[in-house]
Formats: sequence, C-alpha cells, structure tokens
Amino acid sequence: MTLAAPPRKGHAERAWHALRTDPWTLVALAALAFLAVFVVLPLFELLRQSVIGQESGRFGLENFVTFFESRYFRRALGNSFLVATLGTVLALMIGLPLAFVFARYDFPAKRWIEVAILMSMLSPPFVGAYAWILMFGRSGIVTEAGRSIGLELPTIYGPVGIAIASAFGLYPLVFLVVRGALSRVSATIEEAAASLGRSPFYVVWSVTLPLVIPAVVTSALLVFLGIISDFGTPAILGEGERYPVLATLAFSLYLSEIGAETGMAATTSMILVGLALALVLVARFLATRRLVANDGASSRSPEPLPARTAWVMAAGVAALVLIANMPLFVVVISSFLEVRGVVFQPALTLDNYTKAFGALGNALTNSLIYASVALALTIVAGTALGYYVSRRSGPLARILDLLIMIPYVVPGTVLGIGYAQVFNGPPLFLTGTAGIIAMVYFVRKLPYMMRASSSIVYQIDRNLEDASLNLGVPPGQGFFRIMVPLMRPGVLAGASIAWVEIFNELSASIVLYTGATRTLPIAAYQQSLGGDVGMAAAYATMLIVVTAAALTLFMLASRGQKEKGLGLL
Amino acid sequence: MATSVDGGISAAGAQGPHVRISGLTKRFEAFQALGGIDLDIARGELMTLLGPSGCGKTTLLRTVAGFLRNDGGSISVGGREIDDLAPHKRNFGMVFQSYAIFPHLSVKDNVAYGLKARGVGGKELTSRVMEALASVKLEALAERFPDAMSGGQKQRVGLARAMVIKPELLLMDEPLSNLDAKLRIEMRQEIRLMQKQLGITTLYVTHDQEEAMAISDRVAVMDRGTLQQVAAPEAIYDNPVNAFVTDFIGGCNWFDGQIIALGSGLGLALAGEAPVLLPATAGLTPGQMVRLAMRTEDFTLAGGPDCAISGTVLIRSYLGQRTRLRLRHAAGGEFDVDLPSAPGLPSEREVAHLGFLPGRTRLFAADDGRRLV
Ligand SMILES: Nc1ncnc2c1ncn2[C@@H]1O[C@H](COP(=O)(O)OP(=O)(O)OP(=O)(O)O)[C@@H](O)[C@H]1O
Ligand SMILES: [Mg+2]
Repeated sequence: MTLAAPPRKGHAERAWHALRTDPWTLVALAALAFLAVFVVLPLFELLRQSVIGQESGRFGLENFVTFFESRYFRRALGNSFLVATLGTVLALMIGLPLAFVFARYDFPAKRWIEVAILMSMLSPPFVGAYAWILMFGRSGIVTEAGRSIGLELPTIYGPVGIAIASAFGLYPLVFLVVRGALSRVSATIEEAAASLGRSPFYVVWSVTLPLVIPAVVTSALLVFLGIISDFGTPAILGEGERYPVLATLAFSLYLSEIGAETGMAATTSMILVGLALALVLVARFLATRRLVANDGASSRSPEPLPARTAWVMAAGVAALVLIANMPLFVVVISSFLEVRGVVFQPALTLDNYTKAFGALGNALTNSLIYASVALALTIVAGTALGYYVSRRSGPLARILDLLIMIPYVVPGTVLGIGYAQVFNGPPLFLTGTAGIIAMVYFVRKLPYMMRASSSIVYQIDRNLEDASLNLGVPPGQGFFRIMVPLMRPGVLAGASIAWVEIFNELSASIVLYTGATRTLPIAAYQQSLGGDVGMAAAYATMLIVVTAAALTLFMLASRGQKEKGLGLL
Repeated sequence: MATSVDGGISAAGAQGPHVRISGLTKRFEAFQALGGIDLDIARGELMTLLGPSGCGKTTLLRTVAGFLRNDGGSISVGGREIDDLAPHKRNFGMVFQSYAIFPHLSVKDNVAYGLKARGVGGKELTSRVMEALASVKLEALAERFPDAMSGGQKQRVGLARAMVIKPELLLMDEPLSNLDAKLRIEMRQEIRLMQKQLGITTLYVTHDQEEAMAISDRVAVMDRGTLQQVAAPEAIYDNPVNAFVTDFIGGCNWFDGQIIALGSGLGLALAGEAPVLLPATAGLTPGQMVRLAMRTEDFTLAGGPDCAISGTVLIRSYLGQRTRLRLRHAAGGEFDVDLPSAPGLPSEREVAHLGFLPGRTRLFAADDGRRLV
C-alpha cells in the first residue's frame, strides 16, 4: 500500500480554514460588506452619473467637457487650488516655527500655550470664518474702526480670506505632526553634525530639516485636503456663488433651486476627488523617497533657555497663538453683545441666547445623539479593525486597509451627495432619516480611528497575545483582557479628537439633513450665512462649549488609565 | 493504574516518550522552515533546541505551542495527537524572550492570569500565586507593575507565570538572551533546579552553545530546518555526527586531505605533510577526499615519524593550565592548538611538530559533510 501525498492546500481551502480558526475573519468580512455598501457604492454611483451626459443622457465624457468649457466651473477649480495652496503655505508658516520652538526649547507657560494652540482646533472651521467676518467683514469691528480713521481695509471675502481663515484653523495639525517628528530626531545625529564644526543654523538646515521632511509633507497634505474638502469656510467667506470652490459648487449644483443638476454635481465631485487623490499620490512620493527613521538612539528633549530669552520666546509664541485664537474669543464675546441691525453694540446681553434657544428646535439634541451614536460605533469598529489590519497580513486585511482610507480622502460634501443619491430608495431608504447622518459621521471618522488604534497595536508586543493564549485564555476573551486595556488610552485620545470633528461636522450633513434632523453646526451655519449675527455667534459658542466640555470629560476619563511600560503619550 | 476512560492514552504515555514529534514540516510561502522533524522527549526531560539564527528553532517551538499550524507530520503529547488542539487548550507553559509580561497587570495578577482561566479562585489562587512567586524569589514584589522591574525580574515573573499552571510541557524561547552574562548563568541554574524539582518536561531554545550544554539532559542540534543530531551534551561534543555539528559545537580546525593506501592499511595525506597511518579505517576507500576536524585540545607535541602536521608558531599565549599556539600551516592557512603549559613549548617563529591524540581524528566526507570515522 502506498501513501498518497498530502494534497496542497488551495486558496479556497485556506480561506475556509482561516474562517474556521480565526473568528476575526468574520468581523473582517462584515466590515468589508459594510464598506462596499457605504463607501464604494455611493462613490461608484457618483462616478456613474458623472459619465452619463447631463443633456444627452449618453455614456461619455460630455459632463467633463461641459465643466472645462465653462469659465465659472473652471474658476471653481482654480479657486479650490489657489485657496488650498495659499492656505497650506500659511499654515506651514505658522505651524513650523511653533513646532520647532516647542520641540527644542523650554520656556514659561509652555503647557498653557500648547493648550491654546489645540483650542483653535476646537471649533468647526466655519466658526473661524464667521469670526473673521465679525472682525474684517463689511461691518466688522476692525473694518469699522479702520473706516473711522479713514482707512479702507482690503476685503476678507474671496480666496485670500478663505485661505487665511483656513490656515488659522488648521495650523495646529502642522504643529502636532511636525513637533512629534522633531522630538523623535535623535540628539546624536544633530550632535554629530555639530561636532563636525557646523553652525547650529546650518545643522538645522542640513540635518534636522531633511529628517522631518516626511512629517512636513504629511502635515501639508492634511492641511491641503482639509481645505479643499471644507465646505463651511468657502461658503461663508466666498459668499456662496460669488467665489465658488469645488465643494460649494458641487453642493449648489446638487441643490440648485432651478432644478438640480445631479450629473454636473457628480462630475464636480469626481474632479474634487481626483484633485485630492492626485495630492495624496504626490505627497506619498515626496514623503517616502526620503524616509529617514530615528536611528534608535536617545530622542531629543527640549533644552532650557536663559531666563531673558525664554521670556521673550514665550511672549512671541503667546502673541502668535493669541492672534490665531482671536476668532474664538471674538465669537464667544460677540455672542453676549447686543445687536442692532447687523452691527454689534458695546453692551452685554443674553438676548442672542434667548433667541437662539427659541429657534433651536431639536438641533442640539440631534447633534448630541447622532454624534454619540457615531462616536460609539467609531470607537468599537475603529478598535476592532485597527487591530485586524495590523495583526493580520492576508489579502483581506490589505483590502480593508485600503477601503477604510477612502473616506479620509473623499470630501464630506461628495460623500453626502453620494449618500443622498444611493439611499433615496429601496432597498435602503435612508434619505432624511437620522440614521443617514449618524452613518456619514461614522464612515467619515472611521479611517482616523482605525489609524489611531492600529498605530497603538503596532507598539504592543505580539507575544502578549500568545502568552495569554498559552495560559489557557481563549482568543476572544484574551483580546478583551489584554488588548483592550492596553489600547484604551490611545483609543480614548483618538476618540476625543474624533468627537470634536464628528460633533462639528457640516459638509456631509448639510447635504443630508431635513427639518427634523437639523444639527447644531447646521443651525450655526445657516445663521452665519446672512442670518442673525447674534444668533450665529450664540450657536457657534454653544458648539465650542459642548466640544470643550466633552474634551474635558475625555481627559478626566483617560487620566485614570494606567499606561504601564507602553511608552505611549 | 490506567483505569480511566482514556486509559489507553495514559498507558501509552507512561511507556512511550512524553512528547513525540514526527515528520513535522512547516513552510512559509515558498520557504521551507521545518523539513521533517522527528524528536522524542521523555517525561521530565529538558530538551534543548540549539542552532544558528534562522534555523527554525522558534518556528518549531511555536508550532508545538500551537501558535503555528504544521503543514505535515504530527505532534503528540502523552500519546495523544494535539495538531488540531487550539493553543489555549494545550496546557503548555511558555516563557518568552521578550518576557511578554502583561504591562497593565501587577506581578501578582500576571501570575494569577492563567490560574483564573482555569477557574481557580479565592484562597487557593492567592496561595498558589504566592508559592510560585516564592519559588522565583519575588514574593516581595507581588504588587509591583512590570514597568518598575529589571529584565531579570521580569523573566522571573514570566517563569512563575508559566510554572504556576502546572503545565504539561514547558516551552522556553531564548529566555535568557536579553539578560547580561552574569545574570544569564545565575538564571539558567535556577531554571534547571526548578525544572528538575518539579519534573516538568521542557523544550528549551537557545543559540548559546554553552548554555545548552550546561542546562540540558539532551541537546537537539538544528540546521536549516532539520535536526542534525539529538544526544546528551557530552555525546554531542565528543561524538558529533557530521561536519556541521562538529563545527557548531566547540569549534575546531579543518584540514583537507585524501585517503591513500599506506603499507597494508590506509593513511591520511594532508597537503604538505607526510601521510600518517590511520588506526581505524572502516568505511574508507583509497582516493577518497576527506575533511579532518581537530579540536584545539586534540594535539600533542611529536617529533619524527609521529609528526602528523607542523606549522610555524605565529602567536603563543599563556592561558594558565594551557598555552595556546596559533600556527601557520606549510600548505597555507592558520590553525589553533592548545597544549598543556610546560617548559619546552615552541616559541614564536619556531616550527612546531604536532601529532594527533589517539582516537581524536574525526574524518568527514568532503562532499556532504557526513561522518566517516
Ligand atoms: N512568519 C514568517 N513568515 C515567513 N518566514 C518566516 C516567518 N517566521 C519565520 N520565518 C523564517 O523562518 C526561518 C526560521 O525562523 P525562526 O524564527 O524559527 O528562527 P530561529 O531559529 O528561532 O532564529 P533566531 O535564533 O534568530 O531566533 C527564518 O529564515 C525566518 O526568516
Ligand atoms: Mg528565535
């Protein structure tokens, strides 16, 4: 009798084996199905509509031809590009020096100034934009003051204004990413260069800077994507149709009062997505070409300065941050000022709040409910998928990793339009429901949460899970007893940022809301756009307060967390 | 004795080896990491897997633990096949090179982790945890968290955590390689003592030859995914089965040579030397190309016809009882020789005439490294 050779395992058999032995495969498959419906399908629908002629109804590039033949459409594309480029440069100009100073030196009140920097991320971008109008708008405080001494200030409306407002809202991203990279550059590298007799300036220029280039590129990409995806700021400072950008153009085409032009809206959306994708590719090329990692030596800690220099530095930094936070103060203070016509008066009152609460309806409760539901989903799914993609290596993990990142690049307005198109009939009728808003919140922040949690998982010794298994604890239980507690601090930190962005989300929800599902950011946006200036300030202040209160809660919750030997934070 | 339901199994377990690995294969994509491993481990034995980096020691250990699934062959413990048994059901203790101490749990809770999974609670839990901690001399640190402990202490926690569950088999993957030299020697004695006391069957991985010799009942030498020799430390050292084991264990000098007919018997001709008569010649044929392995201590000073090899002394270093000579062979190449320190040893730049100690000439086939004599 001869023994048959054991059969080589085929793909199907292997997949079946994976499913049977690894319960995570089921989670991954469910996620895949979900993403197919809520990410791929809406985008595919937009793509389909963009290649079906708006006029002729025929398949082809007719819409794209229309787009590029129209001066108005071309101007929107140009504006998007101009605003994003200018805004990115500005944000880098503010964020880079701050990052450098914070990574290298110690000075008084450093922690407080840092908190102030992070505060400018607290409010939705359009609140900042609105504050700029309160200061520099047609009847803004500064504009009026200038006029009274015979000085006519340049207008804040238009691309330059949008770029400035965006930069002040997004520079903290540059600060955070680049400071992190700078403090990881090992001290020995710089010392080696210095010991070769180079001046400190030359060392920074020739050694440090190239090492943090990937971080600079990444942060620039984040800012650029943030600006071209933003809807609120250009809508407010661009006065809607006057200075169109792609995001506002897509929105107004979709909701056009003279019959919606869904084909052109889809085309504009696709061009916007194309622009974002092109940028990601360029950034990827720039950042990976010279990926220089830490050599593992001691990382650099900030050095103390002579007292006088330290104070000067603190004052300089504080002044810069104060200016950056000015919009926040302006909005909060204005909300307590009396309004006559469209002009604030120097008299304190709670009238704005009385009116605001009167017209609030469900907006606040809606926001709280949708954002909480979405955040809970984001935390659970982000933790699970972050774990999956960083601990499994099969094709399923790679596909998921790719799919989840799509909403990261796709602007909210585009996703919103896609949802409205796909879920407005059977089999999934979601348009106008609360569910669709919570869903779009969830899908938009999932990439962020997943990245946050997978980067933590990478730092956790793989053997811990094996040790747990080995000690007789089944895999599922082991995940909750070992991985979840170890991931918790990082996940909470990620969740707090996710909360800020979810609670303040505007660009997708503005497409999807109905009277009954209006949210607080939408209420604030509507009043900012030619509504009651006092009420707008009151709503914006409410947004800021709720966001800050929630952040404080997160901080208190994570303070109790032990982070034993993980080297996190 | 074997009256339980699984009587057959425990009966087999009592007679046969405790752990039997047979024909075990494992591949990663196209790379064959384990190429048919056959290994029996007796009850209470400490078996060490020894081999160069990348030879598959960790892979074998993790396959036994159940973290990796074997492609072919099988593993049985106590006569029962465990290939399809999930790792958490195997009841093996494992000690990791990276310690793998749960950073969010105190020392006490780390040790209690496996016991809790087995439903142990209350007084018994506390007493067993404290007993385990006492056995690694860590009672005083029971409430500590791992981030406030040294590497040696962490590894003791790892040991206590693996031992406390009374594992059927203890697996250790280079448990000492992150510790400094002195601590390594101390810990390996502790491990050996505890293992013997408790009689735990143990599979121990190391790439440190000395550690393997010091700690093991038997050593399994591995190379490129296959076992080369499994034997007691002395046997491995004195009687290596092939060129790889000879070279890996202890190190030695290699000389190329040829078997020739010499008088009525066979002789060995080394390049540039007069041929020497070989006492044992079974398995040799005239004309065969061979490699001769000589450990440094296998030489004597010998003149005249007993001289087998000679060389110019390059460096003479006094090492106490022995003196080491580094010599240059006439046919090129250098080799080391340890001789008992005594007056009259050749000095530097002199030519030393050396003979081989009887019974220490190990010959290997030049082509495949197989042991000939
Ligand atoms: N998951 C994997 N995928 C692909 N190849 C692997 C994987 N794990 C191990 N290998 C390869 O299998 C071989 C054996 O690895 P293994 O870790 O068992 O070596 P080792 O003997 O433990 O070495 P060391 O002494 O360095 O720990 C190596 O060549 C390694 O590159
Ligand atoms: Mg290994």
